[in-house]
Amino acid sequence: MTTPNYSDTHRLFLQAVISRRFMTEDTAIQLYAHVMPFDQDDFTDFVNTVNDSLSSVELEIRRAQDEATGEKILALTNVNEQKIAQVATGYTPLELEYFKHLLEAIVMADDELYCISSTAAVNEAAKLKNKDNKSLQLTKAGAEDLLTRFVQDKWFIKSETGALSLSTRTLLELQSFLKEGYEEQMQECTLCMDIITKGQRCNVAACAARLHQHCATRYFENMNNPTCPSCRSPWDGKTLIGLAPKAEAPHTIRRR
Amino acid sequence: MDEDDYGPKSSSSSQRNNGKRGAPSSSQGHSSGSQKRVMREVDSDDSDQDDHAPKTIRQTTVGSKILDILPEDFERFVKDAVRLAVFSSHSEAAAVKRDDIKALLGAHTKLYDTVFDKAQERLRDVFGMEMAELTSKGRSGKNEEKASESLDWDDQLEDQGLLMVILSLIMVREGVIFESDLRQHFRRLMLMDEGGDIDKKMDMFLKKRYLEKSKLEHLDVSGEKIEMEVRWGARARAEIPEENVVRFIEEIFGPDAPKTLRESIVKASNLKPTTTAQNNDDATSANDAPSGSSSNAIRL
Repeated sequence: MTTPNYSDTHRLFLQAVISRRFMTEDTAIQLYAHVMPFDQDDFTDFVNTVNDSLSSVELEIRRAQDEATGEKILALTNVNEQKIAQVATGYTPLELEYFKHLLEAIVMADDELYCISSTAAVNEAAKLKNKDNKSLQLTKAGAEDLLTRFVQDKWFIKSETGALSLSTRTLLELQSFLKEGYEEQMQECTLCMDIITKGQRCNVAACAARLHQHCATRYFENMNNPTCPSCRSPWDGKTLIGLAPKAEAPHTIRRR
Repeated sequence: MDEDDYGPKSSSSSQRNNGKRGAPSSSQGHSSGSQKRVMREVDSDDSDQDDHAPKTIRQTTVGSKILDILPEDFERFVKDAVRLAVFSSHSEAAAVKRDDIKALLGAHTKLYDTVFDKAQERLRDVFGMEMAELTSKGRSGKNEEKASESLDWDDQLEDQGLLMVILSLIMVREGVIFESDLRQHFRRLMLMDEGGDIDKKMDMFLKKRYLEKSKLEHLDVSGEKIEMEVRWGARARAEIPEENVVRFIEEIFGPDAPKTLRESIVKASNLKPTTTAQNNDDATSANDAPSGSSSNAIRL
């Protein structure tokens, strides 16, 4: 519920956040400065106060860092999104089916690659079946258009080599969905505990330590001989999760 | 607002370490309809689990009404309605339909009014927004932002300015202007050059119901003609007091304005003048009163 110090300042900030849904932390801080030109306290405290009120409608402002760029992002998300439909609005049920398919394909990719090639993605469209096991009507052209829309709406990222991976938005907004639906496949960064689909991993195959690029930079900042936070073996940062830059994504899709 | 209040043990269980739970239900001073739970039985080993539900008969009390539904289900409706309203406010139409809210309620459509009221409260409390009805043939509500000051967000300034210009032009013609005349004005203001951008803006205003168009068939010297008329839309009527538009015009004239400017505006617009100071307050503070209420009162 709203706390006693919750004021119109917080409400104004929230209204601005709603219209943007998704923004860099810099933008958010600018907005904060706009509503509170004097007397700026800690931005984090401010956001926490807003979140306390938002909890009464099961929303929250979540913060994350872009896995590729490390850029800090804020997004207004549902706390308990169990259904993709609640989150990805503006798509027909068929389109959501395809979306779910791609999501699963990416998450299930071999070797923690967390990506698939767009070609494979488009070919998947033909295999879409509904609950009654009848094939759904999504042509290749339709699938390509849809894919473009997904990328435009920032659910997926398409690399220069045509590899599809999960965007920060997807990781933020569908966090619960992913963590609960794909418990085995989803992993957490050892440092920040957020989902990780791009980054570094321990050289030791049995070790579960994983780090985002930006987390690794922070963690190893002053270490001359980087070692794994879990098993202490030497950490060279060369064993990757997610696709190496400029590499091509696998063309086969593993299904559950 | 959650389910951890079970009679005598309520004070200890609500102090559980989750600051987000807020005050126990008995002390919700700020909301007009406090939600209480009516318990018939309390289990001695208290826990927050719902497995107590079969042993107790629970109902939701909202104000003086007793609803035949579990508190957490009612709460869910309220939350879903608020979220729907919030996320619709940035859709193209920037409005939420009553039917969509009803759809959330499943079989409990009779609860619409109570849910709606609670949702309004929550909207005001958390977001400083409320749903105001757009008076038109369609059945819909919409979200209106009301905060103690409307801050100008830079990226909306352009649209706001343009809208005010259009609304002013309409107002001083007693509320209706031919689309062709409006476009003449656009030409004079050099708005037509940017390759159709003005058309996009007009479409947006129409979609958001700031403006509305209607067909007029009339006889002209050259025979029967069909013209489009443009008026203030339902949202403009609800969100923008005419006083604001008068002030906008005054600002444009600036310090060199003739002293009779306001009088002329009011006369041209055929507005109802009144000298009460209250109207001034209503128009300045866009918060307490829904902004549409004083739209016809202009201070002279």
